Amino acid sequence: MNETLQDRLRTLATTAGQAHSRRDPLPVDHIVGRARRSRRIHDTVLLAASGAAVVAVALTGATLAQRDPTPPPAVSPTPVETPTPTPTPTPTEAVTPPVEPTPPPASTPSTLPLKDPLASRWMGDASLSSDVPESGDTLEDGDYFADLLSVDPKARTVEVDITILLTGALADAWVRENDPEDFADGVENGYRIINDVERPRTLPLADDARITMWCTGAPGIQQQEWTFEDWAALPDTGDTTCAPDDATRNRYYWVDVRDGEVAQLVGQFFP
Amino acid sequence: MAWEEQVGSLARERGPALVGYAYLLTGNLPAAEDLVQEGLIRTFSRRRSTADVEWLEAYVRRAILNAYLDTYRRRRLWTRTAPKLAAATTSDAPDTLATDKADVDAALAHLGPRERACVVLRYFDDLTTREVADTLKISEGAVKRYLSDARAHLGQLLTEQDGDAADVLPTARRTR
Repeated sequence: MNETLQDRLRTLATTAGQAHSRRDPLPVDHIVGRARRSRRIHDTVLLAASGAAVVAVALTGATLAQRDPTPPPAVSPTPVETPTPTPTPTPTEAVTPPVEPTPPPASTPSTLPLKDPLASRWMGDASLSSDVPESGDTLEDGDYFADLLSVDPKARTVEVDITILLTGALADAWVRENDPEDFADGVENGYRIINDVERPRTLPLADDARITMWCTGAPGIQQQEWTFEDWAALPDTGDTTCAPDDATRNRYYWVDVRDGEVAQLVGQFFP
Repeated sequence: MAWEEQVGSLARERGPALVGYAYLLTGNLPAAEDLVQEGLIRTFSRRRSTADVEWLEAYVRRAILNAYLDTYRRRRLWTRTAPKLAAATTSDAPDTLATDKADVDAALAHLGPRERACVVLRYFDDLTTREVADTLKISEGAVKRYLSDARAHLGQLLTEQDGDAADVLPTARRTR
């Protein structure tokens, strides 16, 4: 053999690149969308860290004020005031991006595609974040993550507690910043659910809404589809197996909202 | 140039090269494309002042490498905590390239993720073992051990590299 390993690796890389060129191009819009979402979260973390620093300074000032009736004005001119910002750094509904305004999601109802509800959306390794609600009792179009609280079969609505799901590197970054004692070679199981969206929401389901849940007992993970009526009739506690008699409702779902209605509920497995 | 345009520019102009690089790590074309996506997302998730495509490509390559290593670390966690799902999360290589360099491909497939990363950084990126160690945040001795282990799998391919066998073999003898 006359070729060096370098030559062989370069040839292999070139061949792979050529093979890629014959396939679909990289999905730039998807990449930009996810990067934009990450920037928003990163901005939120920065804001929270700044808030925590302000609180720390204010608390220090208040403490000094209690010890010394004439505290230096540079620290806190009104030390009797109790600082109100919460030190909890989370992507909440009222958060304002601190660095530069991030444009709202570019997608509109007609352009925000629905993901396949029969495919598990997170399988333990990818870095992703669910959408963050921004206003009001209803939800903008987006793929949210929620703890299912209740189902009203007659009204055809679900009551959900929206949370923020961070996985992979995003979860690592958040926990490093906000819960460092819980960070050991990565976040446990690779995800973190942040439950800082306080108000539960009751959301209507679209007439053609699709509902899928994961179940165990078959090889690999399976997402099984249910009609709303059958799903609503299921018990909400117990084992979640693929056997119809043993089925219970999943607890955590991706809540895909389009035009003010739930277009899809997709159960998410966590170890 | 806005960062959104930089993403498009990099994907169009350097996408094949980046996928080729990622393929050396994954040995699977769809997985390599996913890895490049992840690398681009990680790179552009931070605000950067540079608009230089070459610098950005370097950032993306580093992000690809980190994402590759992170993925394997998380996969270990996942399969440990969710044994029922293990079958569904393993990624075989049905999309391995049909190439006359399949011997390299097959040989790389026998390497562990860190071994593979060391080989790519050492022999594709032309980094020194010290630079590989700095990149992977491990000791130089560990790099030499990984390269030694890789050599055992790659066999004849590595022995043709000038000087490397002499560099690796003594370390391997010390550490075993």
